[in-house]
Formats: sequence, C-alpha cells, structure tokens
Amino acid sequence: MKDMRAGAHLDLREVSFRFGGGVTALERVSLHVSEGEFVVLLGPSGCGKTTLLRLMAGLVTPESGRIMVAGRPPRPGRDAAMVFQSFRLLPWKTALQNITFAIPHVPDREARARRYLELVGLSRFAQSYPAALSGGMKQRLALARALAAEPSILLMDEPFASLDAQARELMQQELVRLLQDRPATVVFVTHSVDEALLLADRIVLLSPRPGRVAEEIPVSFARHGDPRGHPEFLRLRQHLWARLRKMVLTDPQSDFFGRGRG
Amino acid sequence: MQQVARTGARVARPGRGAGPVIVLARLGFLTLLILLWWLASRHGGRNIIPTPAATAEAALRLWSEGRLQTALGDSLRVFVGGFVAAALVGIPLGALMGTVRILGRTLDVFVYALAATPRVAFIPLIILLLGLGVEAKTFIVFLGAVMPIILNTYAGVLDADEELVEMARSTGASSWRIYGHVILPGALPFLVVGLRLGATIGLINTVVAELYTAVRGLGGLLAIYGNTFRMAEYFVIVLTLALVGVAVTEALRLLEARLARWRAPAGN
Ligand SMILES: Nc1ncnc2c1ncn2[C@@H]1O[C@H](COP(=O)(O)OP(=O)(O)O)[C@@H](O)[C@H]1O
Ligand SMILES: [Mg+2]
Repeated sequence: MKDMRAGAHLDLREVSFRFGGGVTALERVSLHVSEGEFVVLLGPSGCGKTTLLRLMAGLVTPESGRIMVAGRPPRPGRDAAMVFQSFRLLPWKTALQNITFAIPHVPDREARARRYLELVGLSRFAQSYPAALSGGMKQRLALARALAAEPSILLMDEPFASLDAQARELMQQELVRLLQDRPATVVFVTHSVDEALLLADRIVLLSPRPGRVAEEIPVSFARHGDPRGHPEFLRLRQHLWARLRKMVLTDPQSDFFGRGRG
Repeated sequence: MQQVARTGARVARPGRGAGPVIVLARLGFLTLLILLWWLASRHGGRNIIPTPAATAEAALRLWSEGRLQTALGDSLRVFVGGFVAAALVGIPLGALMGTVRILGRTLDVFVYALAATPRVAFIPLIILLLGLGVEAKTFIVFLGAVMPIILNTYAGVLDADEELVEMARSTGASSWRIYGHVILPGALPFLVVGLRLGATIGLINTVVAELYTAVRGLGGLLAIYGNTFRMAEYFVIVLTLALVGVAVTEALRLLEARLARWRAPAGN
C-alpha cells in the first residue's frame, strides 16, 4: 500500500463536555495518544467513554478545552474511522455496499472494499445483506468498513462487547493481526479488564460522574503470546478490578451503590 | 439486526407470493362465493340479484359495445393522475416536514386536521373552483390520496435510526448522502404503507368523484345502472371495481417485496 503512516497522534487538553440536560459527561480530561499507540479506555458504564470517542471523531465539539488530531481539530471522516458496539450496518446494503458507502471518494472503492472483505474473511458474503450474517461476521464487516477507509486513527467503542466469549477472543486476535499489517493509532473502549490488558500499550482508567482520568497504566506485555498467566498480568488485573469495584460501589447512580462491605 | 427486527415488527412483512396451496384455496373460496351468489339469485328474487350467467352475459355485452373499456379508461385516467400527483407531492412534502423540524411541527397539526375531515365536504368547493370535468375528479382523488402519503413519509423520516445517521456522519458523509442512503431507505416501509393507503382512498375517491361531478367512468355507470335497476350491468361494474382494487394492491405489494429484498435473511 501507498505511504503507510503508522497512525497519527491525538491530543486532548482540559476537555469538558456537558449534555443538553445538564449532565456533565467529562470534566477537564487531558490525554495524549502517540502515533501507532494502542490505548484502551477502561471504566464503568456512564463514565464518558463513548462521549470521549465521539469528541475525538469530531462528531461533537467540547464545551471547553482543545482537541487536536494529527495537529488539527478533528473532522468526521478525515483522520479517524469508528467502530461501534452495535455494528451499525445499513440493513438495505450488501456487505460490499456497506463498505463502499464509507469510502465514496476512493476511485477504486469496489476493489478496495473487496480487498478488506477478503482480509476479514468475508469474501463469500460480499453480496449478502447484514440480516444473513452472524454477530461475529457483522462485527468483522464493521471492522472492514472502518479499516477500508485506511484511517490513521481507529476509534473502537466496545466493539466486541456483544459477541460471545469465543467470537470475542477470535476477534481480538484478528484485530491484532490486522494491525500488524496496517499499523494505526487505536483508541479502544472497553469495560472488560481482561480485554484491556490483552490489547493495550497503555490503559487509561476513567472514573464516572463526571468522567475524569483516574489513572494511566503502561502495559508492557501487550500482544506477545498469551500473557494471562503472567504474574504482572495477574497483579494488574487485581489492581484494576479493585479500582473499578470501588468506583461502582461509591457511584450513587450505580445499581451496586453502597453494597460493598469493606 | 435491531433495525430489521424493529421495522419488521411495525410493518407487516411483504407477501412472499402465493404458493400453490394458497392459489388452490383461493380458487376454492371463489367457487364457493359464486355458488352462494347463484343460490342468492335463485331465492332472493331475480330482479334484485342477477344470476352469475346473466352477469357474465351483461359483461360480454358491455365489453363488445366498448362501454366497459371506455368507462374503465376514464376512471383509470382519473385515478392514476390523482395518485401519481399525490405521490409526487406527498413524498417530498412529508420528507421535508420530517427533516426541517420547525416546518414539520408547524404543519403536522393542519395535515392531521385535513386528513380527519371527510373529503366529500370539499367537493362542492372543488366543483365551484374546477368545474365538473377531469380536473375536478383528479383533484378529489389527489386530495384523498395525498394525506396518508404525507403522514407516513413524515413518520418514516422522523423514525430515522439515529445510530445509523451517526455512523454515516462518522464516515464524513454529507447531509444529502445521509438522506439518500440512510434516512430515505429507512423510511421506505412507512412510505409503501402510505402509498397503499393512498391508493385505496384514491380508488374510493375516484368513484365518489364520478358520482358527484359529471357522471362518467365506472362510478358514472354505477349510478346509471343502479338508478335504473339494471342489476346485471350494475354487478359487472361492481366486480370490475373490485378487480381494479385487487390489481392496484397487488402491484404495490410486488413493489414492496422488491424494495425490501434485504429483509430476507438469505443473501442475494
Ligand atoms: N444524549 C445524552 N443526553 C444526556 N446525557 C447523556 C447522553 N448520552 C449519555 N449521557 C450521560 O453522559 C454520561 C456519559 O455517557 P457515555 O459517554 O455514553 O458513557 P460510557 O460510554 O462510558 O458508558 C452518562 O452519565 C450518561 O448517562
Ligand atoms: Mg458507551
């Protein structure tokens, strides 16, 4: 492929965001993501992870603070491509058309779409409608659609959360493999501690109401074999779980508020 | 997947085409109806209900005289003219109301009010404005058909899937592109329902218009034969109207099935 950049950098400074109803989703969030880095945003639900991605994608603008993507304010469809939890495929378009829809300005878009279908193992289903695909296949299609834009930044919002355990693990491996061939900067949202530890170069732990950065944890063993038995993996896992548990138990809006015994 | 289930639940799935069993069952039911008709004509007084044979005879006579074709042609011209005009006005207007929220919120009350007023109430006014000719008839059909088309298109656009719209925005798609590829296709099931309701009302209004204005077309023949108690001819016209109704509904069903191919979970 032509000029392969290893991604673009992304910079948030003191970013705050409030919804119309007065809900402060994010308060003074600062975050830097380097070129080619794989950052996982981890936090309980409602801590502003999705909002943060939408800000990075340029879908919404911050109330205050500054966001720079590759040195300029973000604009939808320019530097970043997004993968959503609920796939968001157009049901009236075939697999192939779902991809070409996302890359209207590419001259050889059909050939490119076919290439990415092949890459995620969906060549046989080019002419199938999403209704005919399984959950895992739908998410692979959604991933192919994002990759086909050849973005320098990939924003992924709990992309594997609705898959079953096996499909989820296979997709994680698939993502790692795809990124080896086509490096990009990735911001990946999850509320699964294991998924965060398996994929991240760095984990950014967010705390809820209002969303803030609670802790940043570099992860050294990302993507080298299966690290799940590694003592460091187990230590971090325990640490993250403890922090998440505390956040959930002390969040008045959580179902588990006040249920901790110690 | 969610999207499919949602629209699928709200709007009946398009017919899959009648299988051989259904075709046979329908023919059987038709035979039963004709039998009942025949029995009724035997026992209900020959002057009120004509026999199937007498009706068939009348049909042949009306056909060979050319009256049936002329009336059918007149009626279809009025119906098609009014219905197509209703689609051409109703779809863009409904879409516009759904897109420009201020416009929609302003106009929808009036459209609902108008849709709830019996259209017959406007006929004297229309006759004063447009006379008794084809223009007045076509306008009466238009007025009846346009309301469900506007309202359903409006509802379909308002029902646009916000998540899909956001996905499209994230690819950098323009508003026009989002409109053409996301919002309108999503509104299609609603739109087809609107067209079907519009066609049904349009057909009724065709006959009503022909009864109230210059007496022509199938509605005109209905009045003439009904008033002179020529019941065999009268029955021919009633059956012709029923056939037109079936043809129009089936055509729209085919259109719907074609447009909603993507709902079938079997690729291609
Ligand atoms: N459209 C909205 N209007 C008002 N509040 C919202 C809206 N969307 C999300 N929120 C609130 O903003 C906060 C952050 O939401 P979100 O970014 O979706 O969190 P996460 O993705 O981490 O679960 C939550 O408290 C949520 O209830
Ligand atoms: Mg979320």
